[in-house]
Amino acid sequence: MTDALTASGFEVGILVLILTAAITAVEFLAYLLLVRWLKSRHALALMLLLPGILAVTFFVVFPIGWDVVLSFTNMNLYHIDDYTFVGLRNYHNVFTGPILHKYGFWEIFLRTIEWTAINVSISVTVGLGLALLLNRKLRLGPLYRALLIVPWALPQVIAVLAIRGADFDEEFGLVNIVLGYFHIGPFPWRTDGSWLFASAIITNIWLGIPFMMFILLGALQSISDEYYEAADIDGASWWQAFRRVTLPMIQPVMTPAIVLSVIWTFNNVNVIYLMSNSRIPEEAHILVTAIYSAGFQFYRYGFGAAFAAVTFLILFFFSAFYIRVNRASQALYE
Amino acid sequence: MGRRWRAMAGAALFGLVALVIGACGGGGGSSAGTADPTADIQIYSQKDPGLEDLLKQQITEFEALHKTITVKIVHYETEQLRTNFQTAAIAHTGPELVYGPNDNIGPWVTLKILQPIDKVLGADFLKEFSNNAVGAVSYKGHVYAVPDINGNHLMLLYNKKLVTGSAPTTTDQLISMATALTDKSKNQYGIAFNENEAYWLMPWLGGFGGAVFDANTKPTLNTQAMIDALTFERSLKTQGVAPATADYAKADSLFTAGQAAFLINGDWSLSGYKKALGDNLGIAPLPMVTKTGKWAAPYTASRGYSINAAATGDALRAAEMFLQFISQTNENLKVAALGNIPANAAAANDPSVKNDPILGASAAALVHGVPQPIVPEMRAVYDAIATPLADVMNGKTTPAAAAAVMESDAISRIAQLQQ
Repeated sequence: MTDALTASGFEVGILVLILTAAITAVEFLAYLLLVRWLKSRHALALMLLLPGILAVTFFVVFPIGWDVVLSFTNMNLYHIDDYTFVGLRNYHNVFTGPILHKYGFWEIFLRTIEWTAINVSISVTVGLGLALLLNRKLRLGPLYRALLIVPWALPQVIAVLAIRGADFDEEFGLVNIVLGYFHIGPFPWRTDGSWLFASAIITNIWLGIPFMMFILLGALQSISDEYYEAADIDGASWWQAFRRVTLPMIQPVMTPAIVLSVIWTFNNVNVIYLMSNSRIPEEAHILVTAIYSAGFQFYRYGFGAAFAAVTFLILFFFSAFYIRVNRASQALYE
Repeated sequence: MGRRWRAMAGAALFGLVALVIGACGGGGGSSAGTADPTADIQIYSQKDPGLEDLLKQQITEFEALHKTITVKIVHYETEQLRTNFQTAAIAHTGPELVYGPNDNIGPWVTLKILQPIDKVLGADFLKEFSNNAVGAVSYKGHVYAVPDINGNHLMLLYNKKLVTGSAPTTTDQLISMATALTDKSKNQYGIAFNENEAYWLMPWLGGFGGAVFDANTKPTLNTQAMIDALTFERSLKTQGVAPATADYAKADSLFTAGQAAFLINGDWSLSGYKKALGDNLGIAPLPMVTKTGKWAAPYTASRGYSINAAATGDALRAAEMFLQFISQTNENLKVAALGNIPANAAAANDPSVKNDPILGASAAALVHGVPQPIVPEMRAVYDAIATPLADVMNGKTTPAAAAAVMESDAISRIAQLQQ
């Protein structure tokens, strides 16, 4: 064990040294180019930005560019190194044919919106409710906070696997047992695609609530009591104070939290993948899990790349829209 | 300004020089002058804990003999191992060796990410192995893995505490014994098996006289044999002798906890059950299908180490040396001691193997098996079976409708692989 730790420590050390050397070399070349040769006034600023620019180029720009290139090829199991360009065929197939077998792009896209909307709306609503409760002076408040953060503190893989086995087993799972007391069910959570999708939504909500709760609790705690005192003097009811004071004051925090949550949920492969034990039924696929299956389980790399590019564009436009809205809301407060 | 820049440049140069000196110092431990290459090699493995512990011990022994080579294991579950290895290998990187069942060989050879063992280690090296173990890892005229285990077959395991007589030899006997041993008040089931995986359906398909492909690798899933196999598997659930749902983990824990009298599982699990149940572990072939008089025919395969096409130079030499070490008779006998039929021919004929009751029973179960197809189309077939199988087990569809869907799905999925 100690040997393994020493060995991995040594490897990390070597990696850090190599990175340091590479950055030093690049900076030295940049120095020669910008200072000695071009005598640029912005040399220092450019040199400081250079490591970040390189990292973004290699880890973001290049993979996206490569994905776009692959999306125009027939790269698959039988053409892994002799692929040819096929024009827009993959994009045509994304929108006209089945993505995996049964369902087309629009059906999976709608299911992804359903997945994202249900997850985010419930996580925000419940998270806000819990944050409002915890923001009051409660006895054992810190204990409640500690308990409520558990789903977030657990590694996602462990949490999902535990839930899959303990809560959603058809016979021995807690959910069916509890529903059984009310003569409801049992439901085939693990073996039927639609029920599996429902169980993945429930699990993801459970995992998502603590994030929202803690972000919003932080925002609530930053609101000065003076606003509430003023509202009180004006005779505002609890609901009026919530609508006119609390919500506007937490909006600058809540908006980015919701947008981040939308992007994470939209792109969440883990929960559905783990809940289905890596064999995702078609009824439970969202866009990103379908990309994973098309590309990595069925070796359709060109098609998968086109599908990923389309999904990327959807999120890109959503993010651009969000940035606009956020700028507008920031301007409102400035 | 000029002085500051000169100082920065000087510091950068100093860093580079220090790094070069440091790197030279780091390499000082290499044993220049010995015949061994200096290399760190990696193995992606999906071995069960017992076998993986053994592999770790074998690596320690190997490293003691070859001090300039280090071998690291990265463990993955089977499906993750497949995707992670192929993703890395396609990009000409990844581990030097990958260990797993032979069913990935077809796709991986098609993806050109494996090196032929017969070319790397020579045809003579392969003479040390049983013919059927080598045959199972051969594809298109070459051998693509160094096998260590022959089998990978499903069998009927039973708990002798619950099953007092001898094991059933027909499906009718199995059902009647399982019915007698089911006690729902104690959550005790007659039989448990992974109801979600096509691999567990295959023995019954064979037993009812079916196969997944015809001679031209065209799917043959919409057959009476498939309908009968699905009907039989569902009947175990509808008769209440098997749990309403069971995946691998649930079936495994029911059997280990003594809540399932019979379990259908593979040879890879024997070492674990030997530990958990001791002498109470019984092993038998899957029974003969009463309706046809044919024995249930589990898929057989071999498991072994394949070489990444990206492995070259010293790393490849080190990987070859490791494969030669791990394939020795005495090392393969250690694998056999954990309840696996060894792939090494001399190990398979060793008295300790021939007289071992567990290995003998496992070998008897292997007799009725059929080789698992390793063509890339097999993946499409497994995927085409998965959902209709689940729907049959849920009662959402009939076996006849499911068989029809399986075949049409398999055909279109195979066509999709070409797109």
